[in-house]
Amino acid sequence: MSKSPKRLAPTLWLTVAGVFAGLPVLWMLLTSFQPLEELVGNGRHLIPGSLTLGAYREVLSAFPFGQWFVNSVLVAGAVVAGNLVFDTLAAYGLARIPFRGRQAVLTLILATLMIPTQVILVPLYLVMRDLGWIDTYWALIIPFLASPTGIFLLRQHFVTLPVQLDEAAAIDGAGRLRTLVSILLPNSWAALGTVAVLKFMWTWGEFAWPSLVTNNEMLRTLPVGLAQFQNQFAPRWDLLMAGSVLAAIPVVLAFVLLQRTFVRGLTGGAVKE
Amino acid sequence: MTTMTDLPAKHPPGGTAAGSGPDRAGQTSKSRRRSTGALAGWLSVAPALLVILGFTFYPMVQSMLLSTDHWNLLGPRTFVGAENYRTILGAGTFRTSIVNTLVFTAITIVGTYVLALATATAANRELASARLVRTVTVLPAVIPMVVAGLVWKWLYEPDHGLINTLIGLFGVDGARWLFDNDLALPAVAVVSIWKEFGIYALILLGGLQRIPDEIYEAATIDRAGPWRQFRSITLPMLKPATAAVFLLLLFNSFKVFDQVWVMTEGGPGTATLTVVTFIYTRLLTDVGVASAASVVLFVILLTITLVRLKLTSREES
Repeated sequence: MSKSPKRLAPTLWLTVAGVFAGLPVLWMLLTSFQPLEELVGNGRHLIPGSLTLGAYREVLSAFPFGQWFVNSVLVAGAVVAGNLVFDTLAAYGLARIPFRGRQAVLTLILATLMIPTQVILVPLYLVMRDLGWIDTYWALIIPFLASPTGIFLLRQHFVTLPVQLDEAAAIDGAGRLRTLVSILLPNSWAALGTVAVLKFMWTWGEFAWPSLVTNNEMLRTLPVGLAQFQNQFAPRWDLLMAGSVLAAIPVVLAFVLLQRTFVRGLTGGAVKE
Repeated sequence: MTTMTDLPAKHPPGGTAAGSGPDRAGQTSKSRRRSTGALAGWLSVAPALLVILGFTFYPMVQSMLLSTDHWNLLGPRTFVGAENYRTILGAGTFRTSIVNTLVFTAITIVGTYVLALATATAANRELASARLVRTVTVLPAVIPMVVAGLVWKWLYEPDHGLINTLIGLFGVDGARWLFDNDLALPAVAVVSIWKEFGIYALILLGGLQRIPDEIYEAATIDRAGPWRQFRSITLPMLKPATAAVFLLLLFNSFKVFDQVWVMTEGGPGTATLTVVTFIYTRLLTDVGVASAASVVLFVILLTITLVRLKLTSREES
């Protein structure tokens, strides 16, 4: 009896927070299945009268949504793959191989941690222009194939693995690459997963940069395509929400499947499970 | 695959030459290690280093050089010294964007922190339902910001949007939100709060769980009420987590762009023009001014990061 009011407040608040977080997502879904007349007709409706797949059909046929989807998958996939290879190699070198200049390289990489793309939009655009990469996949992929964040996270992880592992491998005659691939990596799935998931999510959602370097409609990624098509058809909320659902599905699905990895990445390892 | 299996064969199988002395064999392999160390080290960092130097570091340096020039990408590029900085710091629009960004940042930080702390405290008491709540509250964080911006633009829509429809149930007319000079900026900030508060709640929850139960038990014996316990135990013990959250929010809020562009493009008028929005609108027409604004933004972000590094190193020691 004495406990119930104490537990009521937290439960009540958690419900409020859950509704605040979930309702917009639910509303997006609901809108995408409603006919436009119902959305912007006379009077307002909270409960949909009828549901339809019309908006999805129209979005997929009237716009190169399929192509945008493929572009997003291609760009995000390439960036994730590049980071997994290059960040891992660099992190291994910085954690395990003593060489002249290592400290300098480490400092430089840590320094670039604080330079977000937003600050270098102008000069990076000029670099792409000079390379002739405007309106190509290269501009969307190559500058992001390695990242200080990934290197930092993986190096932090490698440092925690006992050096005895490497030494045992060396006694068995394994070279450095062999040691990395067959000894260290199998002990690093969590860290690699975190990097992959973070890179995928960030690249998938990227907007300012891809819309700056692509003019060709067929090269757009989903967020860019979605934002541009809003300008053409402002009041078509049914289409916009259907497009939004399609753009959100892959990351949401990945999140539901790999929740732990996402949470670990998003909180920067601040939360242990 | 062959190269990988070949590699170890290069190291002489010292076992057969055991008679010639293990010392010498040990020395050769040691010096070989050392001499290949530099090469292997540089090879391992080379690809990542090239990408980072070429596409982050070099552009950053370029940014500073461009900020002292006058250039519209087509005409000649001329050196004008500090003029671009004088222009942006003196004239209205950039100052407005700084003020807007500060207001946006303040609203986002306070809103996110209060919501996150309340959620973390509640979840800490009521762990049974915390899992479901975690899934729901973290979900917005993974949704692309452009999608979040569009969804909220629809929610804010004055005539048919959900928010005004709900307000209408009480017989009150809703506001014009994104079309209102005073409400547009807070309305845009709400999107950031909605998207991120679940993550920060988790970070704070981590901090809460590190506070030993004994302290609360002792406080209860001393007859301290829940509010007193919250003020005298929870908040002080949560200071490191709070500082981390605060600086992270500060850093991210200064970079705000995506949802602004999708929802208002900086309008109405300049009501939601933020620093990055300012840069974006001048990117290809006034390279010097856009670069100068970028450098100012960089200095701000750099300061935030340095404070952050100082705090974390103090915490570690």
